[in-house]
Amino acid sequence: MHSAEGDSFSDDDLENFLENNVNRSVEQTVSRRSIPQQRDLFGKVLSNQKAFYEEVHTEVTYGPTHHQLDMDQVGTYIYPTNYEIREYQFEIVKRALFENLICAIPTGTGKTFIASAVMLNFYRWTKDAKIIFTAPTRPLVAQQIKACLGVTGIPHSDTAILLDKSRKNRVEIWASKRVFFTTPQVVENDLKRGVLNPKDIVCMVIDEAHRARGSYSYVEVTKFLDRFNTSYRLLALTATPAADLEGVQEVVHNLNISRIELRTEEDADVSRYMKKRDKEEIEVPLSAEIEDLIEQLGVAVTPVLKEAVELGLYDDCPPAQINAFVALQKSQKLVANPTIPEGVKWRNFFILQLLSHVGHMLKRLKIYGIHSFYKYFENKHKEFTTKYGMGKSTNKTAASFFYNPILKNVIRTCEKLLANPGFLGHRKLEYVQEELKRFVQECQPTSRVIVFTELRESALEIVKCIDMMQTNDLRPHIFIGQARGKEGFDDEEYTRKHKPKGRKKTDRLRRLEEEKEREEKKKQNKERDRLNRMSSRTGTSEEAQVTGMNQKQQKDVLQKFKDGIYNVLVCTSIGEEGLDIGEVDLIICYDSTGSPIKNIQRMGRTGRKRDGRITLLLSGSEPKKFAQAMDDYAELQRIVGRNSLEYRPSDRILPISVAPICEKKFICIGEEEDELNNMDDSDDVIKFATQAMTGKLNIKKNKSSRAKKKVEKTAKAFFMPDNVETGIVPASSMVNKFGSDINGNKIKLERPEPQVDLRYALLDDIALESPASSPIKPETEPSCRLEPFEMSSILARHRKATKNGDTSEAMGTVETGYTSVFSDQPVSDSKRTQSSTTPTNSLDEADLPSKRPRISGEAAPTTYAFKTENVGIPLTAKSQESSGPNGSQVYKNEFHKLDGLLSSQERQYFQDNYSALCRVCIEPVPNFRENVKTGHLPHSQKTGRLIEAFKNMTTNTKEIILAMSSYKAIAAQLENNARPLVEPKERFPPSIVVQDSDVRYITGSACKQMSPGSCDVRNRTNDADLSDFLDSDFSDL
Amino acid sequence: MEESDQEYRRKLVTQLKGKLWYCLEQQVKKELPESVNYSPKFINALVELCFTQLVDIGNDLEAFARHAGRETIGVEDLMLMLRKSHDLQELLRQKLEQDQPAARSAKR
Repeated sequence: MHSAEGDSFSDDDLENFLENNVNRSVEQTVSRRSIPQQRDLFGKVLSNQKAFYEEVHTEVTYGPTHHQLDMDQVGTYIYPTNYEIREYQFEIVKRALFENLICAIPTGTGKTFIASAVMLNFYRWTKDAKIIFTAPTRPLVAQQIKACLGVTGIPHSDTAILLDKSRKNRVEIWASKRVFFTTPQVVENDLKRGVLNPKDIVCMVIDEAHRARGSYSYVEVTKFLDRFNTSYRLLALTATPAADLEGVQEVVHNLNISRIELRTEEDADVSRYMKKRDKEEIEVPLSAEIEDLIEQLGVAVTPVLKEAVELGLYDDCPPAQINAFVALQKSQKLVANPTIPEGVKWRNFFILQLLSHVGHMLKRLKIYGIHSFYKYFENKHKEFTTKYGMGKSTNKTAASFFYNPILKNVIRTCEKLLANPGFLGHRKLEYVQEELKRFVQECQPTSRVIVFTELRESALEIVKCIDMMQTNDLRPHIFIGQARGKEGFDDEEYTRKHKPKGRKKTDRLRRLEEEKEREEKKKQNKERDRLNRMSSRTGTSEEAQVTGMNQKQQKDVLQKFKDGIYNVLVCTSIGEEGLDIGEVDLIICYDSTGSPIKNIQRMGRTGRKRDGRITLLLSGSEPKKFAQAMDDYAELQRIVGRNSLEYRPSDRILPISVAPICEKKFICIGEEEDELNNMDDSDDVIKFATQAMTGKLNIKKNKSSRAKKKVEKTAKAFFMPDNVETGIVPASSMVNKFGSDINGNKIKLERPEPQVDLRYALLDDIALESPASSPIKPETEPSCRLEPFEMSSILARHRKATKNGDTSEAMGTVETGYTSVFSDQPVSDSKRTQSSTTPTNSLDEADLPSKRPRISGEAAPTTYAFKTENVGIPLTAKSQESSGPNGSQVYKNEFHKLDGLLSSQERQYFQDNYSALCRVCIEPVPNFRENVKTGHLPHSQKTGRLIEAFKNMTTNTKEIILAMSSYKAIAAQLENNARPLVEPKERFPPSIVVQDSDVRYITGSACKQMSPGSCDVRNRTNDADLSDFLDSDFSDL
Repeated sequence: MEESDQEYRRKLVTQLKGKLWYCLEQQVKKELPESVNYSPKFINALVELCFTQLVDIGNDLEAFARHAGRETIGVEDLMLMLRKSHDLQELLRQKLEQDQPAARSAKR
C-alpha cells in the first residue's frame, strides 16, 4: 500500500525550502508490507519488533528546461573528426551529452577532446546559454583554451577567458559572451556577487575533478547552482577520481554525478592508443655507510625508545624502524588529551617528539641519502645544543640523545663523506646516473627526462649529481614551487638574540650599531653566496632551491625545457599534475609517495605520443608502500566498476522527444582560430584570448575606432529562486497563513477576523490592540497586566450576567454551566487569552488555599462564588498545549492556548514558595497515588467493580466481547419483537431518572408474549421465578 | 448445586444486561442530538456502569431493609438512600404522590 507522497527530505533543510522553486520534482513513495510478528507462548506479541516492512522509493523527475533551444540544431550532435576517432571517446561523448558524468581516463588520452565535443554541442543546441570550463590553476586553463578552441571552432568572439585579477569588465563579459574559460574561484565569486546569473549556465566542465571535495570551489559552485538551476550539464574530468570509495562517493555527491566512465591503461580500448610504457621497479639497497649511520643513530636513540616503550607511548620496534609519522600522531593525541597531568604530558611529548625527529632522520637516510639526512640532522642538532647550552631548554630526553657520544661519530663520518664532492649520498643516485647514461645513448634532440622527488633538497642534490656527470647531453634544472625555502636554524642569530642585554643607554646604542653592522655584513654575504652560486653551472637551480620559483621563473624553465635548453627536469610534486610539460621519454621516480593518485599522475607523463620508460627507485620500506598504494587503487577501480556507488539522476535538458543523431564532421577552423593552435606559450594564449575577448583583436582589420562605450553600472543582483516573495515581511503575518490542499499546493488560510467585543470595560485597551497580532501571545504578558483579584471579581460579576452564554456544542456534560464564561466565542483572540488565563490563575489560587495548611496570612480570596472541579486540568500552559484534547473535552469545547493555566511566572512562584510537603501539587495531572495518603486505600467494592469492568473493556478480551455481543443480541431481539409496541402508555408520566414507560413496556411486552398468568412482574421477588421469566427467549410465540 | 446456581446467576446476569442494553440504547437514541453517533462499546460501557450501580443500590436497599427489621424493601429505604441528593429525593416523593393514587386505584 502506498502512503503519502510528498517532497523528499534531503539532508540540507535549506534545500527543502528551495526545492520547490527549482525544476526538479521528487516523489517519494513509501510502500509498507506488514510482516508477521513473533509471539511468545502465550500469544503475546514480543516487543521491539517492526510491524511492517517499509520500502522507500524516490523518483526524481525534471521539468522542461528553461533554456532556449535551437530547434534546428537539436536534431543532431556533432562529433569532430579532426582527430582520429577513438571508440572510448565516442562513447563517452555520447553519454556525456545526456548525463552528468565523471570521465576518469588516464592522462593524455584525450579528455580535453571529449570536453570540447560536449561544449561544442551544447553551444549549438542552445541559443544563448553559457558554457563554462574550469580548471584549478591558471596555466591549466590556458592549456585547455588552446585545445578546445583548436578543435571546436567556436568563434572566439563568443568566448572569454577570465583569468585576470581585475573585475572591471566582468559584468559586460558575462553578459555578452557564451563560452568561458576560467578558474572555479572566479565563477564562485561572480555567482555570489550577482554578476553571473546561475540560470544562464547550461554546461560546466570541471577539470581535475578529484579536487571536488570538502569545501573546494567546485563544490561551492555546484551547490550554488543547484539552488537555482537544474538544467545544466556537468562533465568532470580527472585521471583519478579519488583514492578510496568514500572519496569517490563524495565527489559523486558533490557534483551530482550519474555515471562514472572509468578507463585504465589496461583497458583494451584505451591501451590501443597508448604507446608502450616500460615500467621498471628497482629496489635499491642501502649503502654500507648508510647502514652504519642508521645503526649509530639507533644506538643513540635506544634509551629513549626503551623509555617510550615502557611508558606505553610507542610500540616496541627495532630503532631503525622508528616511524616518524606514527610518533607524530601519538604526540598530537597526547597533547589533545586533557586528562593527563601537565608534567607527565610534556615529558611524554618530548619523548615522542624526539622519536619523530629521529624517524625523520632515518627516513631521509634511507630514501634520500646522506646529504638530506645531514642537513636535517645538523639543523636539529645545532638548534638543540644552542638552546640547551643557553639554558633555554630543559629537555633532558633530547639532551640524552643529542649529547650522546656516538653522535659525535656520526657527525664526523658525515662531514668526512660530504667533504668529497663526488660522493653520492645514496645508491639511488648511482642508479639515476646509470639510467641517464643509457638514456644519453639512445636520445634524440627532442628527448626529455623528468625526475620526480618529494624534497627540494633532494631535487637539488640530484641536479648536482647529474651535473657531476659532466656530459653536455644532460642539462638538468630544478623545478619547484613558489614558496620560499625554510630557513635553517641560525645559531648566531639565536645566541645574540637571547643573550642577556644591557639596560643602560650606552649599551643600547652600542647594540644598535652592532645590529646595523651585522645587517650590512649579512647582505654582503648573501650577495657573495649568490654570485658563487651563479658561477656554477647549476647556479640557477641552487638559487631556486633557496628562494623558490615564482610563476614567471617556472614558465621560463618550462619554456627552456621544451626548447631543449634543459633536457632533464628535476621536479617536486608541482610537476605531477596538469602542467603541459609535453612528452617525455623517461621518467624517474626518485621516491614513491603513499598516494596512488600522485603515482599515477607522475607516470602519466609519458607514453602518450611516444614510447616511454618509467623507472621507480625504491628503497627501505618504499617497495611495500608503493605496492600497497597501487593495490588500493586497483581495488578502487573494481569497486567503482561494481556499481556500489550511489548516483544521482541528471536532468536530460533536451526534451525526451528529441533524440539527436550523430553527425561526424570535420571542423574547419577559421584562420584566426588557427592562430591559437600555433601558439605554444600559455601566456601568449592567454593574451590572445583576452584580446579577442575584449575585441581588441579586430582593431587592425576594423579601421573605424570603436567608440568607447560607457559601461553602465548594473545594479547588483541577488539571485532568487523562482516564485519568491521579496521584501521584508513581518514574521507574525506569516504565521499560520499557509496550509496545503490535497495537491500539496500552498493555500492561504483565512484567519477569521477576531471580533472586538467591548463588553468588558476593563479590557478595552487590551482588546484594542491590533487584531492582526499573533494569536500566540507570550505567556508572561497576561499575568503582568491585571491583578488577579480584580480580574476574578469582574468575572464573577460577568458570570452571573452571562449565564446564558453559548454553551459548547457537542459536550452534553453537566458542567457547561461553569464554563460559559470561558467558552464565549465572540471574545477576540487577544482578549480571550487575557480573560481566561488570569481568572483561572486565580481559580487555582482559590483551590490551593484549601490545600495549603499554613498559609492563612494570604488574603483568602472569598469572592469566588463558584467552585470548579479542577480534577485533571493541566495547570501549566505548556502542558495544556500538548494535551489539548484530553483537558479540554472535560470542560470546554474550544480552548485557546493559555486558558486556565499557570503562566511560567506563576509556576515559578509556587515552586519557590511551596514545597511538596504542603501537598501542593502543580503537576499537570496530579498524582493522587503518591502524594495523598488516601491514595493507598483500596477501593470500595462498587468502585472496584467499576474499575474492573472498565479495565476489562479496554483490554478487549474475548469474553468481554462475547458478553457484549450477547447483550446486544438480546436487545436486538427485544427490539424486533417489541417494535409493534412502540407507544408507551399515557397513564404513566415520563420521569427523568427512569423511564417508567420503558420498564413497563419491556415488562409489558414480556407480559404480552408470556402466558397471561405471569403478567404482574412487580410482584415477583423470587429470583427463581424471575430467572424463569428471563430465561425465556420468547420463542413461545 | 453450586454449579447450577452459578449457571443461573450467569444466565440471569446476561439476560438482565441484555434488557438493560435495550433500555439504555433507546434512551441514548432519544437523548443524543442528530449528528452524534455512538458505538456499541459506548452502550456496553453504559450497561456495565448502570448494572454495577443498580446492583450496588440494590445491595444498599436490602441492607437498609434488613436493618429496619423488614424483609421487603420499601420506599423508606430508597429515601434513606437518597439522603444526600435532596433534589432527587424531592422528585421521587412527588412522583410517589402522583403514583400512589394511581396505584391505589389499580389495587382497587
